[in-house]
Amino acid sequence: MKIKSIFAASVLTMTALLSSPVLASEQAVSFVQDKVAQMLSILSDSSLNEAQKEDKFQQQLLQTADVNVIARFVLGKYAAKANAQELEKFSYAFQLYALSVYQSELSNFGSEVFEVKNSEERRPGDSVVLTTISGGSMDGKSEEIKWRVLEIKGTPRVVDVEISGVWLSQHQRAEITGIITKNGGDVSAASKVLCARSSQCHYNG
Amino acid sequence: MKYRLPVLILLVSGTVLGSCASRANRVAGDPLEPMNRVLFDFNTAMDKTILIPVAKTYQTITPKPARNGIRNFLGNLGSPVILANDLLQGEWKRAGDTIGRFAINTTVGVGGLFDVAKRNGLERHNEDFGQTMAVAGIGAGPYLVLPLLGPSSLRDTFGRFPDHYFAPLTYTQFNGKKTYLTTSRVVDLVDKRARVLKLVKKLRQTAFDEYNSVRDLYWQTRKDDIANGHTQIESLPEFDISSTE
Repeated sequence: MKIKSIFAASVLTMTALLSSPVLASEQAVSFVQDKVAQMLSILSDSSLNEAQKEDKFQQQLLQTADVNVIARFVLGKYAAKANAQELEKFSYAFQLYALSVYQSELSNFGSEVFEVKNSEERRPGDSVVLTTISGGSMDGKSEEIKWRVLEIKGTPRVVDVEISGVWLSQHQRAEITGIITKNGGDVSAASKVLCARSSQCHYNG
Repeated sequence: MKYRLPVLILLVSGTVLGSCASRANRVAGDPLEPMNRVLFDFNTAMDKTILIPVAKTYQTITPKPARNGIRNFLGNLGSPVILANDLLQGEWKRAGDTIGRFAINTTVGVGGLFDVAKRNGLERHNEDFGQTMAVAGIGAGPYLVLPLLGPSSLRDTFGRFPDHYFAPLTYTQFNGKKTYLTTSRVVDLVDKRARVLKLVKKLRQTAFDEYNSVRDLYWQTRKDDIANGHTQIESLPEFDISSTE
């Protein structure tokens, strides 16, 4: 009886261990599917004026991506050297910059069709979801977009997106660390540069 | 085919927004940054004074269907280079696709003017000897900006030589000169530049340091090309989520 129980418990444990990555990956897929559909529906909602659309879109974007984690990532080696105040100011400037960039870049979308092709799990809680975008503004073409989804505090969050072979967070890290390096390792230099790109940002450094 | 225009454009781009990097500020993989920045600046000047006006004129006087035909024709001419590298990499399925594309487009596609193969599910892909060397395990070496040719690496610069000999036009002559090869390269450059006029303009407006931006785009897209678009997920960087916990 005891052996039977141990065997049953082992099977259940193994099943749970083997199935959890699949579930995590499926969670990432449905997260990307839902969030992209919601963003496209905001962009194509003709009942909203531009300000309302911008506001709703930015809220949606903040629920989809973890901007603080991305901000820390784009600082590269300088993240560990920055003090709490510098990190906070950088995160603030980066968030406003990222929102303005993505708002501007994505405002031309709306009627496109997104389709999830597959997903791959790097490890539990860290997946890459492959989607394609076509129709609408794509001029008859189809483009692959990959989403890096991490489980953060038990919730999926997008931390990087790959388009045409370029991971955007990695690219921004190259740009941001370039600014900091040029300024002798001063993180606030990057905060000022980012802030200057957003009309909503008021930096007092 | 994945859209590679962002990188192709960068063949001719470059504005030095900052001063030359000091020795302490040099980035790993770019030990020749001061020299590269000078060449980048030179390429930008050439782009702005010659290539952009020519590309704009080409775009104005050539209707879109004709430009598509030219692109298809030149792409078809490049098939032997792609095939040679497909075979060298042991990519038999892709080699078959390249042969199929070449056969269909050369015949049904009227000498390559129409990409009939794509409509039948045979997408174009790119291969070159730089990628072949990478697949064989040869490292990229330092980043290089080549005069007039743009971003490269030591490995990819060497890779240009075998590819030159794989190209059929290398062996054609007109009145004893390599007129066909030269013409095809010039038209190809102008066509590629015309296709990315808006994109490069935007890049120049938005990049914090265009040299830096182009260098990263080059490394990332080369890595993706070598992997044939398949993300090597194990090589993706880590994100620090400890600060959120």
